[in-house]
Amino acid sequence: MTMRGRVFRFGDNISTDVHLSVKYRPPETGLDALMRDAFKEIDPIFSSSVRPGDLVVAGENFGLVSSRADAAVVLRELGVSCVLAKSFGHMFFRNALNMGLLIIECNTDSIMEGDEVEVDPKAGLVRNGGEEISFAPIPPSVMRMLDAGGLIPLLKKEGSYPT
Amino acid sequence: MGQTIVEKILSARAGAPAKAGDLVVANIDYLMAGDAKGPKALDIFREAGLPFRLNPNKTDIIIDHFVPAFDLLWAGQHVRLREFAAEHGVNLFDAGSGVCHTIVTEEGRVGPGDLAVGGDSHVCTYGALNAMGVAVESGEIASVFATGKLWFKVPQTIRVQFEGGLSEGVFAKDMALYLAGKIGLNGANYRAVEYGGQALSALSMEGRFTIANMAVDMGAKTGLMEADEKTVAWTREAGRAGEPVKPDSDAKYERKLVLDVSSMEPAISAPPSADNVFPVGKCVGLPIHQAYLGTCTNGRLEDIEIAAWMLRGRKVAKGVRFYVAPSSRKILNAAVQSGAIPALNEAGAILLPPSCGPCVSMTGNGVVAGGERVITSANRNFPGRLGSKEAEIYLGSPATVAASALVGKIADPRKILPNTRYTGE
Repeated sequence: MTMRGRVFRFGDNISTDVHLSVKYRPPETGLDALMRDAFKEIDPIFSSSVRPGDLVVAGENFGLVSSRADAAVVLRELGVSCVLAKSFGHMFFRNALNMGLLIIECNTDSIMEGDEVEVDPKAGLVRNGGEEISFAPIPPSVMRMLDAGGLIPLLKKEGSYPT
Repeated sequence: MGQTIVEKILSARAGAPAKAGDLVVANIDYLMAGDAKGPKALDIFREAGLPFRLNPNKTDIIIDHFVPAFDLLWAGQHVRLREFAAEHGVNLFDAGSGVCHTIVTEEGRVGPGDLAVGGDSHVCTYGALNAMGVAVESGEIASVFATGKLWFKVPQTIRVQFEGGLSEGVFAKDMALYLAGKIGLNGANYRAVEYGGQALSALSMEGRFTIANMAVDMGAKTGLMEADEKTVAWTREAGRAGEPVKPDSDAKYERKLVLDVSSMEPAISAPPSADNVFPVGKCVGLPIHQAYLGTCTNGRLEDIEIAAWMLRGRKVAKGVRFYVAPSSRKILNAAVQSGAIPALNEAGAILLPPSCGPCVSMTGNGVVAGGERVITSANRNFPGRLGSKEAEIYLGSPATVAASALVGKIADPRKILPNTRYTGE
């Protein structure tokens, strides 16, 4: 499985507060409203212009701070195929894979807003124009979890981790 | 290439060599499910219709946050947890047994070399026993009930060496706070912290639990220490010897830090976060309204004895509520026997049951109003953590908390020695 899409480029230390822009919203705020306002503070047209398959690319510590799983679900539901960053907040990293959103740690310095990139998670390769960026390939067990839609859907479907 | 402690533990549990950055599926030695994240884990587990396949001896359900239950919601959640434990033959530590991490370490539920996960931020406390403890979410708890396994990204490791010797009046908590100040709230994000050095070896196990406890308050996924003769004595007494894991001499660390503790003074962490750390002198004299001695950070016997030693024959300042919650029933019993609890009671402290107590407002215990100031032996001081966002929370060692309760203001414990007359800051 290879993903191909346009890049929405963000910087370092994008916390889930910025990402969701909902810190002080009532807890009953629905997913639709969260999706509409994703990244509103730093990119007001993100949610209206992102198309299924597009990628989010960031610098260090993407998804820092909170344990809100919604931060990953919103991106998945907007159709973002993959998030590339130099590093992730550890709770966001776990939530993303558990919620079925592919995220990859790699050197993102040369990737710019609007680039068309191709990601091959099994080969561990990002292609951006003529440039290739490598990363540790996603192991088959984790790919199966992503394909199933996340950790709990995987266990519902297969009963256990694939061996 | 040599391995760090976490690389060795995850390699052993995944059944294949693992290095920092790898994604692995590992067997879990122990799962702690508490009353904070447990109920939602039960919902997810039931909704997904998953089978319970975990060896029931590898998990406990612990009721410690909402003790006593303060409303019908939590009374009901506790009933569900008790029923779930009975249905699956899982051991239950009910209200009054203590704070989850103290129970787990005291009862020999984890030991050296173990891989443990749990539904609370401070599972990293087990690192003092040379175990890898990782905080997980409710869905992950449900998944471990069903499989006995969990996926991990192997973290990079930061090595911290504590060298030198502590001065009188300076404790493990001060070391933990200074380190948090140096590394920062997210400075160890997704890293393991490996602690060592002669100043760490000199500490009691209780002091080491305090330091391991605060790894997560620097953003770390886990924090670990090597096992020595004190660890072995502790785990033998608790009944879980385990298999100690040492890092290789050529292990690869992301960075190394050396801290000389000889020059450390009692530390204070001021709002808004645990990494905002100063020598206590900077805050001495600020009036306080509530003091709290307890929590998974500093509610152990040594902590209660220090406070009792300082307050024996004296009185808590007028206008201060000084709450004390021993972090387990065993500790409560020992502190009653030793005379520490009677001395604190005489001094005017307010005894709470072994539980999380007024550490976080969700427990319904000891919330504070706007304009009030708190000093606590806990690990977090975000605005609003204890109720009003306009309240201020300061963190310090048990000695600093006791000194402040006595004076009614934030105080330097070195100036409040027993049997001396307090003569002001």
